[in-house]
Amino acid sequence: MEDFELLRHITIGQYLPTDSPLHRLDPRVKLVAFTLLCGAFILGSGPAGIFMGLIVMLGLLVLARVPLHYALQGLRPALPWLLLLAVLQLFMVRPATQSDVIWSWGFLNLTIGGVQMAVVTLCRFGALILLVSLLTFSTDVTALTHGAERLLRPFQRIGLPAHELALVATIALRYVPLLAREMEQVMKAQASRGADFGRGHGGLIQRVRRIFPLVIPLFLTSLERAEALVLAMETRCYTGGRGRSHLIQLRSRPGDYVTLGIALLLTLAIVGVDRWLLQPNLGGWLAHL
Amino acid sequence: MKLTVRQIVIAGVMSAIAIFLGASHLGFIPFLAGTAITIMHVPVIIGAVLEGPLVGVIIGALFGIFSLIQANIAPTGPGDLLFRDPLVSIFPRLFIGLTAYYLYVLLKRWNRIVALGGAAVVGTLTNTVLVLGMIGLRGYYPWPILVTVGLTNGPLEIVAAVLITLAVVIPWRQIESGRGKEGF
Amino acid sequence: MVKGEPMVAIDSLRYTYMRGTPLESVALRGVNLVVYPSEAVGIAGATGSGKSTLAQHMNGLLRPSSLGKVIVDGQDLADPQVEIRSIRRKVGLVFQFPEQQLFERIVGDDIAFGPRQFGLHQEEVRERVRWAMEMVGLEFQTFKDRLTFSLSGGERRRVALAGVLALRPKILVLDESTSGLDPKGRRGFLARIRDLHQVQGLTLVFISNNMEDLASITDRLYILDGGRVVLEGPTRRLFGMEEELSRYSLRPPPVAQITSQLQRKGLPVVQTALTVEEAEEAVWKILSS
Repeated sequence: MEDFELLRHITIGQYLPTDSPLHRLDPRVKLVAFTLLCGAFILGSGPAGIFMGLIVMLGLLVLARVPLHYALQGLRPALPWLLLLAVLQLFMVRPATQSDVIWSWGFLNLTIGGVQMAVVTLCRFGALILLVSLLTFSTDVTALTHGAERLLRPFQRIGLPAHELALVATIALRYVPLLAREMEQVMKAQASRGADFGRGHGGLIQRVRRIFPLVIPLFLTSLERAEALVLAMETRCYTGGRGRSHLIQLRSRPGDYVTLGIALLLTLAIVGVDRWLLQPNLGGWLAHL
Repeated sequence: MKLTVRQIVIAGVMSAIAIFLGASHLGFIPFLAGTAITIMHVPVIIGAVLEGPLVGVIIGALFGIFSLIQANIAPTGPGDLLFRDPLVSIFPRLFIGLTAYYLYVLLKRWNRIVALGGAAVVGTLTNTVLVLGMIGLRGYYPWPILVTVGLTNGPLEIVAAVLITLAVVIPWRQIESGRGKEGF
Repeated sequence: MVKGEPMVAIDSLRYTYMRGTPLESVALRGVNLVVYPSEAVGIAGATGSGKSTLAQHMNGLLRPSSLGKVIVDGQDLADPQVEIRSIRRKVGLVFQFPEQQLFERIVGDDIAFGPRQFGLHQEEVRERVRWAMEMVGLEFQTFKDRLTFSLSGGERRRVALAGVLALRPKILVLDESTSGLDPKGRRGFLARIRDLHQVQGLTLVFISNNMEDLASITDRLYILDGGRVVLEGPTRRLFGMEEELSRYSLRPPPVAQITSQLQRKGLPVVQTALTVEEAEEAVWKILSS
């Protein structure tokens, strides 16, 4: 059965207005905290750090009043590839010492180190996905772009058109769901007159031409809509970002600075905890993990 | 750097198309059991040809950022994991619009259709060569494999990009000339 | 009135979008509907009442799940053996803003897309295109080689309609197809539709919220609300039931409202007017008695 619903399984990017303390934070703080924690997860942390990070993420999701099973659904599309990666790591990591090896077959070695890496990788991805979900669940697109624009504003002095770029991003993000709905309709209309988008047959040119009934309307409708938007903006005397005042002023409250501080500490903790634990007398304990 | 209203809107709209193509898998044309060629860079080419190099860079950047995000959160294939590296996902994409635009301008005076086709060719080449190049420079895969992938997928993607670019920009210019703007 | 076997028979149809995700929404909650050959049936209802979902079941874009039956021209769409493409040949579905589906550079090519997809040979395709263009009022020789995108909006819509007609469907389903047309364009479009129904004998299913359109085209009307059929009957009768219709946020066309109001004041009105001429006649009768 043809499934025409194109964005069916994407839960990331959904905003859930549950009005939690997290929702009320200044978006700039959330963006900075997000970047710090992102960096911590990707670049800095070892097993203990990641584990801690994961727990913190789950806790924050609860704080944000997001139903956990819904948040975990965001992991679903990535799962097959993550498992594949994990399996690869289970067997392909070169053993550090002979005692490391649990089971061996040819050049495949199931090592303790491999298990550790696999678990850590899974947790790392999990933490990242939850982090992104946390950001998008608790902050709507308008707030995010306002925050990003404010953060980039100091760079306007060296010529970066922060306002304009933020506008480009806003237009893009708002347009994607609209595109999806329209394309769904075009797909149905073309299918109704016998178009066949199925996996197929045929040479390259044939295959490319087979998607023309979708791709060309995709571009042309968008370009026509763009013209309408340009006209609308110009008739409202839009002149760009210079000297522009703003309806929504972002004001930081004490809670925001506190959160920023906490985020900083958290980042340091996640990055640092493994190094701290790697002192000689605890090394043996780690090896048994 | 100044951006006109039209440039802002086209940049936004083309970026949305690139993101949509990526998120919905319409951007992948399956070919020969397993491999797929992508057309997600085509909006970058079209945006650059229509509105200039700056717009091309912006669309390329947004495309790259989306690529990065998708690889980190919802990888859809083993190759996707490579795009977790911003040097692979963002950096190369910044140049697609630039090369496409400058070639277009160069050939425009001679023959517009060839100029459009050429822009599509060069834009796609930039994408393929720079992405594979960065993957190689970062040591993720050995060069022989990368060259093979480039030689098999590359020409296919070029053909697809040319077909689509021509099929979109030529009618669009017709519509524009119908409204009294710069015709074809 | 000899009716014969229904062309479309829908029984207890239910449908849910995005089944299984947190965003799921029920569109149809048990709809019963019949369309007899050569009828012109209307479907009206507020936005979100399920009209489009219903329409998409008629040509197999959406298939009935375990609950509900959809039988089109004798074929049961719940049967997985049914060849959907044959259904698409018999049931032509025209979507809202159908001009969005145009993608071929040359008008004739776009109209020929449907027939070509069904593997008809050159001469037959040409004949179909010629007939379809005649039906929509686009002169064959003049328009067949024109550039699609140099046509006006109204002309493009006719090209899109021709594209569907070229398949020579037995029944034409039109989903809000007069949207966005100026009054003259709308009248022209409706005239052609009426022609197709009365002269060519095409069965019509006309989906719209435009009460005047429905009054001028349809014999029988279904009113949908919240995924269910809430009112059903001859158009003339339903348009006399102002109070009932208002419960579903619908109002009869102005001419019908006039005759209803006259009736309420006790004046002798024979039937609810559906056209300006009928209303004129009714008022004249009252004034001259």
